[in-house]
Amino acid sequence: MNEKEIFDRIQRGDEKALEFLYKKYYRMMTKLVITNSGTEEEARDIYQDALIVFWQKATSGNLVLTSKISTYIYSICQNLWRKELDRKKRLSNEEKDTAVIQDMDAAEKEKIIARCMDQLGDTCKKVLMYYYFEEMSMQDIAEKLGFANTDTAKTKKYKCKKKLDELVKAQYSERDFLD
Amino acid sequence: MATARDLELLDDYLGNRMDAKSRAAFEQQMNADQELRGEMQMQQQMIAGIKKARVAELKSMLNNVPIPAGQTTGVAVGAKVALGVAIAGLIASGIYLYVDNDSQEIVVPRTDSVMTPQAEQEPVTKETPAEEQSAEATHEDSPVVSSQESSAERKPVAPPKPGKKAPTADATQKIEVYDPSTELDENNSAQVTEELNHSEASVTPSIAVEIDSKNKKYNFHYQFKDGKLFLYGPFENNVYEIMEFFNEEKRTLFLYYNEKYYLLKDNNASLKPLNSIQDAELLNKLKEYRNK
Repeated sequence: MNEKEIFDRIQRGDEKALEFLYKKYYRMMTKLVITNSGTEEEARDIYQDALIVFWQKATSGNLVLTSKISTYIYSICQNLWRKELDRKKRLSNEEKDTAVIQDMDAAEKEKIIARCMDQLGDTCKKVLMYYYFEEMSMQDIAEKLGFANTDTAKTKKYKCKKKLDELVKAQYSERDFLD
Repeated sequence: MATARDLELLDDYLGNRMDAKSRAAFEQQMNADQELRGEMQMQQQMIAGIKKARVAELKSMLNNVPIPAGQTTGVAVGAKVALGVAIAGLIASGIYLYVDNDSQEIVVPRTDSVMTPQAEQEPVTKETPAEEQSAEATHEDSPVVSSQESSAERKPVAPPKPGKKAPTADATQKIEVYDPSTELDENNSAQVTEELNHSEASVTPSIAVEIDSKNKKYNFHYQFKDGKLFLYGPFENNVYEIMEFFNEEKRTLFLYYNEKYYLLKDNNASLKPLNSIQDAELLNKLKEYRNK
């Protein structure tokens, strides 16, 4: 697969192309973190995050590639790792406590939504993810999930979102979210 | 409570799908409506949750992608070195075995000299031809010598015939390497020349000849086997001639090919390289007989 082919496939939301890319640059990208006082686990995490940023931008059509894919991903890795190092450095004990409380609150809300997401069917989850994360058009979602047309995709998205709303609201009062 | 229309607008607002004018108007509406503001925050968190769920799904997918051993950084260097050493070892063994076999097949054991008439064992020429020297160098540089014992076991020297000189313990362990110097002895050259003087040339050789021009390993060699002479090399391209001389019961064979003469020793069945005769006197004799 050449650069253009990989990028085209990524833009179409081909997860196999993402896996291919992940393997291809694994060593190059993780080395960046490891040689800059990071662990193997941190390196893998940063690389995965960078690759997902690239994936998200490419699938949403918000990326015009003017460099090699590896150069682009490498620069994301650099930025993410720099941020992570800054965060580690900045964190004093006092700040850490505050951060922990905030994180717990956000984490709790995330857990609720994640639980509600799990209660949706696979198709519903995919529709919402493709719409909100990949920012795919209704046309692309219809094609990817085999819907008859874009109207079907729109209706499906509306119903799935409504279902998620109901599930989340049923579990927690609105006040929990409005704090 | 937010209406379906409000939720639709919130969706567009949070997804940046509103133009500047509509966006400003909606923000104004939110400022005036606390409930709508609350709904916006909730939708924002929900969308963030959906995105996080997708990131987690993608990360889980990537975590299941098998990374080739050479790609992991922790053991990469060690694994590479080990792999490199293993490959180098394999290549070295391959070369060793190849050269070893090669040398052994061409070997003419020195102990054989006691089994055959002196005249055919002794060297024929006194000058060292270029091709002989290169052949010698190749054989002597080969790692055969370094593994004497194992090679001797693989290809034992033929046992001596009754009444012949028995090899010593040292001789059985020694790797027999073809020694072209046996063909360089001046006396033998003179002897062969002398024999030729008393020989009768046969018009038609009594030996059958077979040619193998496709053998990549042996491209200019000969061998006596099963009463036949096997010639390895491009002998189909040019005319060759087998010259046979008889002196009492002794037979001496020569090959004429491409204006050069080669002595063919039929004392054993080993495969030998063809080395052209350089001795001027012998060459003159052979030319003389050939032109008769």
